[in-house]
Amino acid sequence: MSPSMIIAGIAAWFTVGSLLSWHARKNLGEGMIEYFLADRKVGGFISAMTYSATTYSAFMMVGLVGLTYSSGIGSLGFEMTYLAATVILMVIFAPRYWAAGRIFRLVTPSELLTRRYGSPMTGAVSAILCLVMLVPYASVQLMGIGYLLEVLSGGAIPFAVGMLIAACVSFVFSWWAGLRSVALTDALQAVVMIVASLFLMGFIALALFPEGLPEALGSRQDLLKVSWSFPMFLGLTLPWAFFAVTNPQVVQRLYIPASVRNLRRMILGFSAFGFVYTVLCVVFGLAAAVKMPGLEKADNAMAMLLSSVPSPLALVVSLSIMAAAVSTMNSVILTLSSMFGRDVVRTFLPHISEKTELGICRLLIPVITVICFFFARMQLGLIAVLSSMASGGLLMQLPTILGAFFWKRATAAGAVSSMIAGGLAVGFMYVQGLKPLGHWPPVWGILVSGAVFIAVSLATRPPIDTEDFFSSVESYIRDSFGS
Amino acid sequence: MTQREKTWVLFSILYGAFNVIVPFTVLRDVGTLAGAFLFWNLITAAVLLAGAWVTSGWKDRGGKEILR
Repeated sequence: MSPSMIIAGIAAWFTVGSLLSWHARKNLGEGMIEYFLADRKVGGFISAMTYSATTYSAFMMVGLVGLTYSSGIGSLGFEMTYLAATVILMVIFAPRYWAAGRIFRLVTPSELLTRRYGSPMTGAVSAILCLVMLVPYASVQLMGIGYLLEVLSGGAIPFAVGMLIAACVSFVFSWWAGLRSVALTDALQAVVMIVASLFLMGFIALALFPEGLPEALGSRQDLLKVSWSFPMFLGLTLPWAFFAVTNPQVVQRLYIPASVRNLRRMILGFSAFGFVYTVLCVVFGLAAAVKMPGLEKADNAMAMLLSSVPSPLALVVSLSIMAAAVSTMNSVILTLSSMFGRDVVRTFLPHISEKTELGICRLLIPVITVICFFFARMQLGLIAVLSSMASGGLLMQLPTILGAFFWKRATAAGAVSSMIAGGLAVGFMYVQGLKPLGHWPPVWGILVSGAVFIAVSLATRPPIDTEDFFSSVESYIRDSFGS
Repeated sequence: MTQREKTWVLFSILYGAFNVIVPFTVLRDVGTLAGAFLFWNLITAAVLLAGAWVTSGWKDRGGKEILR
């Protein structure tokens, strides 16, 4: 594909996204809730699309396709487990986050922990853990685009230039009008992602495998057998299974639907999107493995697959991958900037005005974008593993989050110590490359985090208004959800 | 937790067990699309449909939308 064609496609996508952002900007009001949550008045369709686009990143069309290419059908189990677990968790947690957000006027997920545990330090530790772990996750989005553009353009668009383009687009889409512009551009990008994937599937089925893909797979039965070891499956799946409650960029979206009906539509819309998109991405990986076996770098499987389809289709699919990456990255950065302002800065400077707080948060959007860019230039390892490490670190919040809603005996000291102990354990094992008894670091990390949480909570005293928190949330849910 | 939520949690635990046990034992060496590929598609679809059913009781109390 010619570089000029790629640049023209990116320019068209950027123009449409910028127009949407400009439209969103026109109605932007003042304050943190307005900027980061669109005043909690987002409709069901936009909520579903922004949730989907935020969740599904370049990992799907680059990392998951590569993982399927190299290791077969185990990757379908991994990704489908993630989808099912997300829906399971949303049914339980979405009403609680949605209700708590309204009762306590929460902006960030960590702020909920501050309120529940009666300790700003709990929210601050959670926010810092998210900042540390999500920078690699956002960075791999840039890396995905860098790899893709470099391969598609035959090297004419270098890795670093591709990443720079993506970073600039992400910044514009998020900085201009906060969640209003992110949600609208996410919706556009989610539609592009699914439509482009369906077109690619059609072409693969009709043109690349006229004899039928199921028949062609007969020559690669090894791909359809479960070749993953159970520890690998568990190690990759465990952090992703709890993504819906441990990753702040998706948790924050539980605050935004305008009503219960819209919250439900968000869950159903995401379910449908996730199912179709997952199946398509896995089939792409299988198709690439049959059509072009023996690639040295599995993450290049999608790029190689695109080299065998007509240029206009390859361009649209490439833009959809960029859209997936950018929609995830700008959501992560927007959420991190809100968390830094609300959960870190406000902890140490409790008397700053909301206007100053918002100013600091907005300033952080370009700062975090630049940090991600430089981190991505280090090109650390395989994309799937790097993303999973980030989720593994965030998983250490799980005991604290479960305790916030379901264990009245849980305490701030238990929460803070479990996140720190778990985070350090996971980080240490990843850096040292340790897998005790063959199990991946998140498995050991969550055991450490859970044990510390229970032990320290039992040894300390819960906040005095714990009962108020629980009764407020439960009664709001009863009134709003009619259950 | 409501009774429906408790049932949902039990259902989820069953799902989690079947989701791992069946592909990693019975279907491990089945090298066709009718093996783990079909199983993981069907069991996930079942969870998504069950989610739609469980949330069907969520009643609306209004709310103004600004982004549709």
